[in-house]
Amino acid sequence: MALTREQIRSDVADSLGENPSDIPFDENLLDHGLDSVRIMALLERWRRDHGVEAAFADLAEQPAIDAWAPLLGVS
Amino acid sequence: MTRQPGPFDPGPEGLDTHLVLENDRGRLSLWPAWGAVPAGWRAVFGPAPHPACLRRVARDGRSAPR
Amino acid sequence: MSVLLTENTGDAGDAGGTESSGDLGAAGNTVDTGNTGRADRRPGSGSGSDTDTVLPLTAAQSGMWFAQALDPLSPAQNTAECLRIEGPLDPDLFATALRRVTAETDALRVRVVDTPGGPRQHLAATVELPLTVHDPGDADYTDHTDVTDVTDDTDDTDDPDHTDNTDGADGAEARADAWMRADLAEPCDLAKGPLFRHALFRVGQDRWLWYQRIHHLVMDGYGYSLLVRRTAEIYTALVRGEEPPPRTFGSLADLVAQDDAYRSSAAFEADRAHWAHWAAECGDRPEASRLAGRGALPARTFRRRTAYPEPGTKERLRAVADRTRSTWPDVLIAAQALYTARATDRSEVVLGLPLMGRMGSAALRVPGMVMNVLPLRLDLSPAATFDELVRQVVLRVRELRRHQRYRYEDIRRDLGLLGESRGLVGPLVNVMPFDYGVDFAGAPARARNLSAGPVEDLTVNVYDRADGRGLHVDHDGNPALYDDAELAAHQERFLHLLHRIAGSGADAPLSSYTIATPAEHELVVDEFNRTGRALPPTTLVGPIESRAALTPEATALVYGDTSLTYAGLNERANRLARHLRTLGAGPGAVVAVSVPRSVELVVSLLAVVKAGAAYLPLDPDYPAGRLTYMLQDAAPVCAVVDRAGRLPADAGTPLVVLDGLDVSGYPRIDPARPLTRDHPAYLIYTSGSTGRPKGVVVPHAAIDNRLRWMQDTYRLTAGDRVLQKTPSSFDVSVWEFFWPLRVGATLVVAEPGGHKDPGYLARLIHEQAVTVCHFVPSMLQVFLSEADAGSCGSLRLVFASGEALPRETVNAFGSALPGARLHNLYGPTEAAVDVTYHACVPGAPGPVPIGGPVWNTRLYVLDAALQPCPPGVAGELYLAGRQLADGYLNRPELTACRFVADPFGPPGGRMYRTGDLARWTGRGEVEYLGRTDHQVKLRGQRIELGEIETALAALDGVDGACAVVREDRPGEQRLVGYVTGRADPAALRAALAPVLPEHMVPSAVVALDAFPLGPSGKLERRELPAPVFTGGGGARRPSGPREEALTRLFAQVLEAERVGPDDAFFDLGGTSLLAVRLVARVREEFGTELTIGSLFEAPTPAALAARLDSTGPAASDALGVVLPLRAGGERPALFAIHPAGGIAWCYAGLAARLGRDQPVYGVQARGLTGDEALPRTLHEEAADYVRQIRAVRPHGPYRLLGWSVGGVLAHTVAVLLQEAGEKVELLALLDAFPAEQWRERPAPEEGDALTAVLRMAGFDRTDENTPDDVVATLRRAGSPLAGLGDRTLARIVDIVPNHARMMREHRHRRYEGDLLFFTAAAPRAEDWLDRESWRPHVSGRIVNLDLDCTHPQLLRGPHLDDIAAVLTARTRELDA
Repeated sequence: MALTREQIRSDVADSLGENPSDIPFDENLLDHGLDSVRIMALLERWRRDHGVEAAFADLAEQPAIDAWAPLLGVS
Repeated sequence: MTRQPGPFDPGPEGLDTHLVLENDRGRLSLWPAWGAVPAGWRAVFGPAPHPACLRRVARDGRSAPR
Repeated sequence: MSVLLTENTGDAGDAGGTESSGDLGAAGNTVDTGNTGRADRRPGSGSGSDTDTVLPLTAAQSGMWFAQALDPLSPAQNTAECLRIEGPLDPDLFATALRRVTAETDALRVRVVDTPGGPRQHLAATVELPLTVHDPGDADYTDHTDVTDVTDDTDDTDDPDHTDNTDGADGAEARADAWMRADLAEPCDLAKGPLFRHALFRVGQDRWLWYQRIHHLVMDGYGYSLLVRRTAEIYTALVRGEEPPPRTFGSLADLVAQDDAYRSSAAFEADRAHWAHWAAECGDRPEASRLAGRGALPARTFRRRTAYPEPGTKERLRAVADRTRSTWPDVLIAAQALYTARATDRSEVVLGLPLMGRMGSAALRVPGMVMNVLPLRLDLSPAATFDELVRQVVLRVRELRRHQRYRYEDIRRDLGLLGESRGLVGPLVNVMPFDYGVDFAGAPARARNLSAGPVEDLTVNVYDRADGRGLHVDHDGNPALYDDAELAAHQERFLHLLHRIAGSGADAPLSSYTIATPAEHELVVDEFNRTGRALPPTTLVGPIESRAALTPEATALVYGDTSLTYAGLNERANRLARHLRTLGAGPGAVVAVSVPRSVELVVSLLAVVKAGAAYLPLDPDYPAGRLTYMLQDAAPVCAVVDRAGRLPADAGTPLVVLDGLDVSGYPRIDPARPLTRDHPAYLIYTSGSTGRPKGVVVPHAAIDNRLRWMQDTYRLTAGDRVLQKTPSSFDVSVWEFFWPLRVGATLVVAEPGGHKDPGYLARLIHEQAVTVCHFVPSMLQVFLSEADAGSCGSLRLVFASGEALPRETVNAFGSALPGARLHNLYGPTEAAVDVTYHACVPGAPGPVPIGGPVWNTRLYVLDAALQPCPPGVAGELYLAGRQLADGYLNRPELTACRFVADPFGPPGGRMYRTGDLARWTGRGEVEYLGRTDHQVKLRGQRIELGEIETALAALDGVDGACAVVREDRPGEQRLVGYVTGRADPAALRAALAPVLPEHMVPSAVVALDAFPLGPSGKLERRELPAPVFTGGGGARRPSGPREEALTRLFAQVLEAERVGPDDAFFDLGGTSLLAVRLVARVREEFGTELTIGSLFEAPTPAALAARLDSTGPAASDALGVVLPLRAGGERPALFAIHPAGGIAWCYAGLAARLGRDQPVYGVQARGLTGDEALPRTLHEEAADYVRQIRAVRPHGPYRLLGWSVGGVLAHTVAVLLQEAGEKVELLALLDAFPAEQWRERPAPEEGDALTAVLRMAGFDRTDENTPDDVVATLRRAGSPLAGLGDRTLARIVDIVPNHARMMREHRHRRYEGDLLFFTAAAPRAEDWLDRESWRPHVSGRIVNLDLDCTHPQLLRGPHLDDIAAVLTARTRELDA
């Protein structure tokens, strides 16, 4: 199953313990408590569930869903 | 840092922090509400604030030698 | 052999730099491979300093720099990692890859140089690659690393891939490991560089170890991951013959610029404000949580303990994480917080959270040192659930991350905590979630950390090795804080805790967790408390009555000259008991007893319990108001007093007045009584924190248990003699009174007040051959140092209880009383006297434990969640078992709060909350650590400071009050009160006396404008000022030598300023212990027996001087021929004849030691006061003395003594008395030699007179040349001889040479009898002096005692004791 922007947001929200609707797509996720451990866990999850791989540093550099989408193969 | 209030010290005002326990011999014991009730004792009052528990004990009259 | 690959690395790595050319690897170097040796680093290699870029350090790097500067030779900042690569490896290509990575990584090409402007990093364009390769080629690798061949005992499941090294196995891997460790231990020269090195070890046909070591100043853990990945990427490409992907690393300059930008930004200020706010919210002041109880600087090494939680742990923790919307590292942090809170007995913990510090930043692509550690404060309350704690972790970590660019060093600097061991964070929890997951051209690699940098306290590093291999936990500890066993314990407990957390549900309250492992729990709850013992169901008094029937004629008690047999005591007590019964005394009733220590006191107490009632001891010295209160509260059926007026009448208690009471009409047999073991035996009041004392009711079962245990442990026999000295209002007295009487021993009763006078106690113990006694530790210390403890050889057993027993006191005891045993006991009044015991061992290290539990008693050390603390962890001490009191009389609330349910014993049981902090040792003994509240012990007496504060605050003019016990001089504790308001502090002290018992009246009351407050607004007791004791000083000058000497002694003993002769001892801060010291000093100086009691009655130097005048040499006839040193006593008087100076004051000390019944008269020279002519011959002088002596004692037998010339005179007097037909039964000479021994000496000059005077005072002459010099010396020493007037001194100047002349001219006649001789046996100039020269002049024996001192020292302190002992023995023989 392909990864979508909504799915990304949903997974991120889940990882942060928040409601997806509370996370704007362009929001800096660090402000919501995103940390390296969660990024790595998400990376692992997307690799496992969607076969998508991305570099940690790339995601960590700009932690926002919109910035991540292209890195994760979402147009 | 100072030591925290102990399990038998009054908690923050108004909170239900304590119980009164009783054993078969009619002795009463104050007890923290978060603590498991020891065998041979049962809770007869509370959870209630510390002062309320003390008033309950005072009313009983059997818990201390006279 | 190995070779350092020295080829330069080429390009400087600029930001956005050029592609590296691909030919670096094949620049024509030959690689020799070898196995041994270490790389030598060629100095000044390659990089010219003019091509260096110089940059400042980032704040992160500065932190490391300053840490290294604290200990420049420490290798602790070397971090290192080892990757195990399973597969073939080409070392040349690997080297090439490394070189390229080095070229791409600025941080590796750095050295750090100190300059006046601060440290600078010099970035070289190129550096050599410090790489060592150990490749034995196709050698036979004795493959000890194969799983099946392992000969060590590492369990397979513990380390399935053996990333721990093999121990004991002899092999390539072990050698590599040793090499790595040695390299790691080498300190780095930051100025020289390089700050890193690599090594490659071939440890198998297709198995390699890649070692990478980098100084923490330039690299952190994330940086390592960048380097490792890039190295693998390049190597793999090279192996495949491909071009490696383009470089992506940023530059060091980028990091510096970014750091700079932050630190000059508004965000920096905002972060600073945030952390200042955080610090302000931390209780009193922010403090690291200290598992070891203290902090330390990071050591040069660390201790590491590795463990592997069971498989599946991480998954279960993840489940908890999912439940709480957190991550499993959050759960780990919560677990560590819980552990730390319980292990430090605090509800607030500050952990250290290491942070990558690179999120959202260009630093994500720069290998370097960026990481930060920030304090994470968490609040734990037993009421919260674990899940709630995890949520707290999440939220606080989130908060922390928002301000994470502010560095740990910045926060510490802002708080003034830089330097030394004032760290801010406690244990660190460092979770590294996964492996690198890299491979080297297909060969997989596993990483193992060798060092993560300096360890300030404890770091828990957790690695997730993914792929189902589970977690790897390293506990790294500072060896200055943790030994192996402690570190292992922390780790084991932590893992158990994790296991329990993983298995618990969401609602599990924190209180349900214990940090003790199951084995520890079993140990401290059950094993250490196996004290169950079946006992016969007796009461306190039953065994006494049995005993009386068994040995009626044995001596039950001795008081002064009175003694009572068991039958006698029993009968008297029975009669009184029957009388008490007519007044309503019986089981369940209370009878008060207020009788001073005496036979009657023992009879009364015994009578009360025989009637079946409980006794309530009332100290007659208590203020009337307090006594009335206790009588009203306890409502005894009657009160036994020795005389009318002993107790206040307000309470209306019927009195039984012993004085004049006739109970002879009652039968003398034991009264019947329906007494059970549940009935109360005694009721004793203790200090109450809200201002009123509270009565503790102790049943017979409790005290009977205690006394049976005591007898079984210490085995009193009928020959033992137990001292009763403790006031009956303290429960220690209970075993003093009743234990000996239950077993047929003798009770020796001290006189009232005697317990405060160690000199008296020593004499009593000695005279009565006491074998067992009790001391409060502070009194024991005074007894050992001030009294003649050595004379108490009869003691076999001494108990100490009531306060902490210092190790020094135990050691002093061992020296002074080697034949006796000292036992430390502990217990509150609420638990039948004592519940623990410990046999003290002099010379043993560490604090003295209070010991293990007695019979049928259990001790619990519990944390704030009422869970048992493992050994070594401090908590509150709770007591359970048979010895618990029933409770507090009429105080149900207090009883319910202190006597609470016992979760660990039989169902329905209670435990008593002591309020004492304690911990178990591993051997089943408890150590006392202090209080949790404001109760204190002062000289063994329990005081609630609140009671004193309430009393002070109730006085007029007092706004606020507080009380503390201060120890401004070591070993000297004083109770001091502080008040605000307009009241006069001295008046307040006086006003407290009628309200509080004497031991609770502060030594001083200090008036303050305001109380010092801490940052949280609470009273800061630490900041209360020390009281300064000053006297009235200028009031008047002391009059007379005695007053002057006493004033000086007061000032010295009290260390007070401006003491005047009318200042009272206790107003100057005197305590009863200091009183003992003063009394001892007075005895030394004046030789008079000043008792503590007389100090209480005459507490000023003036009053004391007057008192001494009446008991010692009176001022007026102090210089008369006959000087009564002691006029009273029934024994035949001892006449002590003056030495060369003519004054006999030197014998005062001796007189004091000879006992009250031995009269002593000094005989002094004529002419000291008047102008009489001096005698012409010794014979004439002696005849004169005979007349004077016979005026005092007309007929013999006579006892004579003399020192120096006085000895010669004494011999002459003795001869004359014998010639007159009188009997001389004792002639004692103190280092005196017959005339012929002196004939050859030259005539003395004035100098010798001065010497004589000084010698009289016990000093050798040093540089005194005139009489004024002599007087000055005497004054300085506080000697009463300083009061000699000029006239008298002038006479002495004549008397001395006169004696010398007379001595030389004298001819001795013979004395019929023995000579008792005391020799000053220390080496001396006059080595011809020989006591045998008396032989012709003495018909009997010469019995000698050598004393190791000089002639003038004979009459000082310790030697005087020996002389007195011999004299006393001799006079006893004569008297018998």
